Formats: sequence, structure tokens, C-alpha cells
Amino acid sequence: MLVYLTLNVEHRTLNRFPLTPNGFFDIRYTNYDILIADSPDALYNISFICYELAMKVECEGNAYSFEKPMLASKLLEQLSLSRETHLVVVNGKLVTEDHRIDRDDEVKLIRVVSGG
Amino acid sequence: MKCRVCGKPANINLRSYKTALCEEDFIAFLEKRVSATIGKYRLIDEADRPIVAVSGGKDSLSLWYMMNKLGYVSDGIYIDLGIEGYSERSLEKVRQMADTLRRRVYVFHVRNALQKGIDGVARVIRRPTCSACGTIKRYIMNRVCIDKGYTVLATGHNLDDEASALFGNVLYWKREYLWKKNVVLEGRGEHLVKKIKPFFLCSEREIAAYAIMKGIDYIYEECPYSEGAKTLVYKEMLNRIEESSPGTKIMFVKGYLKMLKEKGDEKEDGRESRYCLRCGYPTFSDKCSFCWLLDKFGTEYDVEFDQYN
Repeated sequence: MLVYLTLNVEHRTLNRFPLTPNGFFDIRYTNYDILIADSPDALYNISFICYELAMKVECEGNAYSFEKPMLASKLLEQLSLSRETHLVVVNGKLVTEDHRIDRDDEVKLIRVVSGG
Repeated sequence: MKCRVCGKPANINLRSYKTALCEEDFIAFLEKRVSATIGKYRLIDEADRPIVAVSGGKDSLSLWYMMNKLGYVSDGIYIDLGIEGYSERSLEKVRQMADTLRRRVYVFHVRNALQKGIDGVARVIRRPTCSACGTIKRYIMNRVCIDKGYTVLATGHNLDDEASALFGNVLYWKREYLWKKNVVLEGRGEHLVKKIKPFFLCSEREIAAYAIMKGIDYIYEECPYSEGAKTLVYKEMLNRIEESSPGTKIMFVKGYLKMLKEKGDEKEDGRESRYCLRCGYPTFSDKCSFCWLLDKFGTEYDVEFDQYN
């Protein structure tokens, strides 16, 4: 069964919508107004993937985007990078591994190893 | 994580020092270590005129910046290897820094001297590119000091460079190179200038962090010829060890320095010092490797430098 839910809210509000206490729903939506979920419980248990606010990560000329906020250490892990070889710069400032990166942050991963 | 000094949010975690620091305190921490290295190993005297070998990368530009900041007023020497794209971009970064510091930079163009970029030069003398590059760089950096009256040549070699070179020398037991690395290499009169490495005990990660914090605009790109270099493999290995046992790299290098000191001045090779009959550069025959290279090109070229600022 499909539940159609219409929302007319700003990106920010969407982003802060309460998350589900018992995990995720696979929710896909075609635009910012219409949400499509595959269970009636979706009305209560909604977690949003807001592509507009995805975390943008730049690393060695490649661009990645992540949908969930996460710790800097987790981000390095996801890209199979070591904290010894890459520094994490969030919005122009260097951060430690335990820094929580938000979805609207701009992240640069800087490789420190050079030379031959 | 909080800064160990001031309690503000930390910007860098230094696992090998079991500490985390904020931007301001990290800068002071690193500058203090470089200052201490310069003092402990007597790298620069008051009467010295230092010059920094700059490439446009994070290490050399940070070193140039930091030395001037610490009061060791110094100019720079840049060697334009004529690598398309890469050399122009790195020279641009060097010029920017020269403007910031209001210091002079000497530029030696390989293309002006030999009508070829470094890869072309290497092909003519049938040597690997990095070997030709090393010969030219060592010679020119020394030559600028002798010609222009600088008494100390500082290079941006860092802890990782030293650890990886040492690692390679140990793996293959290269006895002829093993005990030659040091924070300072003394000069020989008017033939060879004193060479120093103030970043010997600073890791690449620390220097990159310093460059980011100070807004030093350096070239992120790698030299196209460094791809597949063995030292990069050694660095990768050492960083993996460092990841599981923080502090290994600094222990490795400090341990080496301690053993080197205990070893004293024993001469490894019994060969006497000889100097090039044409230019006076140290050599094992009558002609130094640079003059030999010039001969291969059949040029009577005399070394010239462009000056910027």
C-alpha cells in the first residue's frame, strides 16, 4: 500500500523532521512536495533523505555527497581513508575525528602524503 | 575533543603526542618544535644568510613562511623543471609566497639552460627522470648559495620523508646511504654549502595542518613523475603502522639520530674529497655530475638565475 503525503515546507524544516525511533523507512520522493512510502506507518515513522542538503565532500578532485550527518572518522572510514594520511576540513576549518559533520557542511579531505 | 592547553574545541588530534590542540595552540606547538630543532642542532647562526629551496608544495612553502616568521629572514630558490603545466602552476604559488613574505626568489629554468624539460634531459643522458632531477637540483641549489652569498640552504624534508628513506635503506641494507642522513649536513668551504632540514621531526600531517591553518596556498598536485615511486609505498606502509601504533615514525627517526650520534664521525667511505676542476663542486672524479651533464649537451652554458622581487 502506498501512502501519499503532501508537504509544503522549506528545506530546513524538512531536514529537522523527527527521525524514527525504530529505524528507517525506505522513502523515495519525486520532489519536495510529495513523499511516497510503502507503509501506512510512514505517517509516524518518517526519515527524510533531502538531496538538496546532502553533505558535499571533495577529495583529490572527486566530489561525493552523503545523505546523513556523520562523524569525521566515519566519513574517512566510508571512503577507506586513514586519519594518518587525510585531514578533514569542514567549512574551511580543520576538525578532529570526533567532529560531527552536518548535512549542509562543505567538507574537503586533504591528502597529506606527497613526494616520490 | 578539547584542546589540551586552552580547553576550546580542538582542531587537530596528535595521537603520537597523546594530545589534541586548537588552531592557535597547535601553531605555537609546531613553531616551538622547529625553533627547538634549529637551536639543538645549531642549524642557523646569527651571522648566517639562509635560503630556502622552494618547490611550491606544502613543506617548502610552510618552511619558508615559518622561518621568516621565526626571525630567520630568508630568500628562496625555485628550480623550474620545465614540466608542462605543473611547473608553471608551482612557480605561481612560489611567487605568491614571495609577495606575501616580501622576499626575493631566484629562479633557475632548466629549459633555458638545456633547451629541454627534465624528461627530455633524462632521455639524453639515459637516466631515470628523478635521477636527472636530483643531480640538477642538488647542483643548482648549492650553486645559488655560492654565487649569491648564502651560507645555509634549508630544505623542507619532513619526518615522513626521512622515515621512508631510512626504511628503504634498512630494507635493502644500503650501507653507503644508511648513515648519511642528518638534520644538518656541514658544508665544505667554498665548495659545498651547509644544508639543513628544520622539519626533520615534523610529520607531513602536521605540516599540512599548519599550511591549512595559516592559509598557505600550495600546489596539491603531485609531480607527474612521482607516480609509482617506492618512497610512496614506504610512506603508505609506515602510515599503516602509525595508525595502529601512534608515535612509531618519530621513534624510528629519533632512534636513528641517537644511534648516529653514538656512532660518531666514523667515515663510511675512505674516498678522499675531490672537487670539480671546472666549477669546484665536490665529485669523485675530475668533473662533477652537472658539468658532465652539460658536456653531454655540448653546451658551454654558465648558470644564470632569474630574480623575482
